[in-house]
Amino acid sequence: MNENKDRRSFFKLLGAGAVGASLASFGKSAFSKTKAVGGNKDEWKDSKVKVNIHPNAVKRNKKG
Amino acid sequence: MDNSKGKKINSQIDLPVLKSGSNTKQPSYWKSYESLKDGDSESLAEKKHNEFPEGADEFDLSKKSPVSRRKFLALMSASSAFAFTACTDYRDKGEIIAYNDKPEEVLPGNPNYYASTLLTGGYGEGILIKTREGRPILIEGNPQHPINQGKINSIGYARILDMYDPGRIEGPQKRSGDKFVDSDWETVDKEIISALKKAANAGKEISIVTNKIVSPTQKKLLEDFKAKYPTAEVYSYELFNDNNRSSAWKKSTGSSNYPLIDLDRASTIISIDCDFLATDGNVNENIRQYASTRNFEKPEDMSRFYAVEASMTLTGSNADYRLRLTPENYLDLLAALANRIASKLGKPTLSGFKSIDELSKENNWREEAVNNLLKDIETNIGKTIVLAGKQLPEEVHIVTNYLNELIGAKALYRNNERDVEIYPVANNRDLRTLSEKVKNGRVGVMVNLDANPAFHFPKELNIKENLSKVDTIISLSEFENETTSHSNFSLGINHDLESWGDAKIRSGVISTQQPVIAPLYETRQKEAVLLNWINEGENYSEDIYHKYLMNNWKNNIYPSLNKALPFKEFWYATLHEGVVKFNETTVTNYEFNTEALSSVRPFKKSNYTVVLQENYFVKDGRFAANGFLQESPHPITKITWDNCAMLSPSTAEELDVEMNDMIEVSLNGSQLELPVVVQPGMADKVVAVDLGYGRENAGPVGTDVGFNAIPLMTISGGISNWIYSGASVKKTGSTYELASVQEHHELDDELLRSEEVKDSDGNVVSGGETFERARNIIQEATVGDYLENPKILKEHQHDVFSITENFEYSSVKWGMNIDMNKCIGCNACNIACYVENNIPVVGKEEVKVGREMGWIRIDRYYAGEPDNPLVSNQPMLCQHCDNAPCENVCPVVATSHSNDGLNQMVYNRCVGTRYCANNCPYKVRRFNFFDFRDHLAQGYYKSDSTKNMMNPEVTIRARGVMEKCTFCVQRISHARQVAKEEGRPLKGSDVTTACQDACPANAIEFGDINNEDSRIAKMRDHDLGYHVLDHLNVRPNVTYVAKLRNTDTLGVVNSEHH
Repeated sequence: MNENKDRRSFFKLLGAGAVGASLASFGKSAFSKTKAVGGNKDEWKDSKVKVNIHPNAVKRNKKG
Repeated sequence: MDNSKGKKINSQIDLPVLKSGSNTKQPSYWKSYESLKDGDSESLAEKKHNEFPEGADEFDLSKKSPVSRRKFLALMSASSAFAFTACTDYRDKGEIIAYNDKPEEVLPGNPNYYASTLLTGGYGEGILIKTREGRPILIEGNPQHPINQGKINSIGYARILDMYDPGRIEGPQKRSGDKFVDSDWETVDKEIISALKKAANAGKEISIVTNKIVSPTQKKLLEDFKAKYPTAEVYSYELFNDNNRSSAWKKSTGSSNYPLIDLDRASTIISIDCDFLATDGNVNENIRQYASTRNFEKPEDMSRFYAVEASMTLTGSNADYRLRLTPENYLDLLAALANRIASKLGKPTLSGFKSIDELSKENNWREEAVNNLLKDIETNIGKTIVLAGKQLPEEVHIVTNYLNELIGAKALYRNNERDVEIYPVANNRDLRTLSEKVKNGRVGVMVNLDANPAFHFPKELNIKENLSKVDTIISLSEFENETTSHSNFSLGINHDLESWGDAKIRSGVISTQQPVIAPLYETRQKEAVLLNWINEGENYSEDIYHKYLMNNWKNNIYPSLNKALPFKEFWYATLHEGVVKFNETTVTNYEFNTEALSSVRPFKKSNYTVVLQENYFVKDGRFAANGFLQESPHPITKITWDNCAMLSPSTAEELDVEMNDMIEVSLNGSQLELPVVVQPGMADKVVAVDLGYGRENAGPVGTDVGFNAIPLMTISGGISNWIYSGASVKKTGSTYELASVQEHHELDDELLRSEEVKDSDGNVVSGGETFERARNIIQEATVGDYLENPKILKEHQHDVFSITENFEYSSVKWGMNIDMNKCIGCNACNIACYVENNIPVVGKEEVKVGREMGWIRIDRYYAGEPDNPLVSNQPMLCQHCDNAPCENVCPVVATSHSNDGLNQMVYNRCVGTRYCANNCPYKVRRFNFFDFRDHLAQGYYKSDSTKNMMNPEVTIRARGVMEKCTFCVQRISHARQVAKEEGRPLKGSDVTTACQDACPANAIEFGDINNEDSRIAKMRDHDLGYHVLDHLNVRPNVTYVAKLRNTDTLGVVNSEHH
């Protein structure tokens, strides 16, 4: 009896989790925006990085 | 099932190897001293059966918090909801904005290559940088470079990570109290120029401390600096240098240029503790030349390599004959060999040294090895070379030079080129002079040009303690280090890939360095900073050093090269090639001066000997902040993220210690506690420790990793700066957990045991002994046996059959060969694979439980007695089996087979059951237990900057996904596209894999098995070609070429594993 009750409450929690997941997915864009900023730990956030090809470098198109 | 040793009782009844019986010459292999001691215990057998080491697949929460199973499951279900939401953006692409104005150089999707040079570390290696949409993503060797010929070492590959490292110093900083605050270049330049002038006017020294200088233009810049600030002095130092070799050569011949040696022309190579395949000399060139003498297709021309050494080195582990000897006796052996030849030639002999017989008895050398050594050195005149390690004392080098003179080694000296020393490397006297000046307050300004004296200088010089007596200390470096901690200014400098420069390490060759990307941060290259100080801060421009470099070439270098092209065309052509070659005459007429022998006396051993070694990856500690290099297993100990004390099994027994026990080493008034690794092949009573670890300020990745053994060094005593007799060692009683990968991913390979025959009382009268590994994972033979019977390894080959029809591969079918005669176990393939395939660094804690992610690993096997083991290296990667066991068990078909023979992974189909890894007999599959980039050091390698390093052709795998070697499928796809555009069929030679490109020994080949003319196809049927675990009928596509040892016998018997 007790076991059944526990199982029920387990599935309840699981169900709640699933609902939570679905609800959260509706708000994906807002959430992901927050995450894009906070995804990394703040101490290693590098907003200063700029990728620019050096103007005087002489390239090759192929390896050899 | 019969064999001559009796009926077997092993469970693997139908293994083909049983048919070989006792006639087989394959020794019994073992992977670690611990496994040898334990034998094939149940725990070891279980380890071998498991897909991952114990603990890898477990999240043992009971150890972490007292949570009941029910509570845990309830929490799991709730947290799974959060996990779903948290994962929603892991594939978030961010904003994608098209080029408004596309740079001319960039064709989206196509890589560009730039030739340049790596200057950090004093290598001067020619490199080729692959960029995608402006981002450097891979550093490889420049094929046009005459010295390294398209190869670079593992550090070269790993250096790309340093450029994107989020811990770089991003610009100029000024000390404010206990910390640095960001400043701007104009402010710091003004203050520094004022300090420089003040010091010069007061007659105080401006000490410029730098590592080895290889750039002729940098040398000119330093001369200009000294002209501007006359009190300036330059100290170019290296913790590991070959000053002893150079001074010995000077005493021996009067010349200061130690000759280059053509190892590829040598038939006998004798190394006296010379790690020439890893840390000594031009390693890429040495490996290439040495590997060329190990050609299994010309076995009769194969060189014979003797290694005499105390510590087990990478080079020594590749020797045909390896003789253990304590460093104090190196001179005895050299003198004994020299005396033997000299007495026959009527030349001077050395007295007071031990004889070969004495040494042989004391060290239990194999008679076969000693006899062959004496025979080879006497008969191979003009084809034998003796190499002494750079860390050895001057006396050892002098006697080595004498011995080389006696055996005609001069014939192997290169006549047309020599190494060039642009600026003399500081010796002990120079370091003492600088320290005295610092101590006496005679240094006004100290400029550390990417150097770290506070970490590297021996303790007795007290440099760290006395730095407060210097008025102004300026550190120019990429990362914070122990010296920046004591500096007034910390100036962030450019990475090699952001810098201009040149390098001359050899006569007749100068290579150029060009930036391939504008500086990521507000950093400047160190030469530009010095130049600006020379100009007193006036007229600074971003191309200040670029112009200086061009002017130096135009006015000083170009005129001496006698090139027909006008300068401008010449300059751009040189930048394009990355190197210029020209004629430069060298003098190589050397005569040995026997007076040099007068100072040579034997060394005496007392108590324990300490050998301080250069680490293969972090070197002297300057690369300690690089996660790729920290995670790369030490080729000998297989330890990651640490250093240790290597002890011989007998010494460990004497001290009553085993792996992970701590010992205290007392030497030169210092004590150091170190964890023990019991290392087969070590000389007794010798403690070998790698330097470069125990950094106190090396960012989140490198700080407090390992133990700093530099305090054990002294410049006033010792056999040399790196070897000390008279140490005392004791067990402390505490333990320390090292992360060793030696026993990870072990292939299942039981020992076969003969049946026990019992008498009527039940006593065993015969049988029961182990005689061979069941599966012949390592196969090898002697050159003599192979020449006598080329089919020696094929005699007992077992035909496997399949109950199903094999698939017909109609066009290209990819395969790989790995030549174990050439593989030296350097691990360059592993690091190249990390960079090419976006493999994450996982950190020490994860390595400990077997979660390291490398797609190719070097499995190292031993055979024979632990004191004198035979060593075999076997690179192990996905074998892309035709009948892949992993494919059959995947419930979601995430791993499948392509029609060109690739075992593929579909990452976004994988649900992470790990059945495939469980079913892989080669244990080459790797599971993303975490998002490791996010997991390590609080997301250190998941910063915006490190994302720029990722190869856009390779998917970044998410948590819960299985991954493994793809045979660089992205390169195959690219080659296929090129072939299509050129209207021709794809050929096997169109593709090279990252590991193949990296291998300095050219041990790895890749190509089309279906092309019968290709080497890939031919090696599959070669007498020495074999497939690991092929009797499982998985039909692997990686062919291993069995190792030939140039010895009379393999030196080990089959039944010595008990």
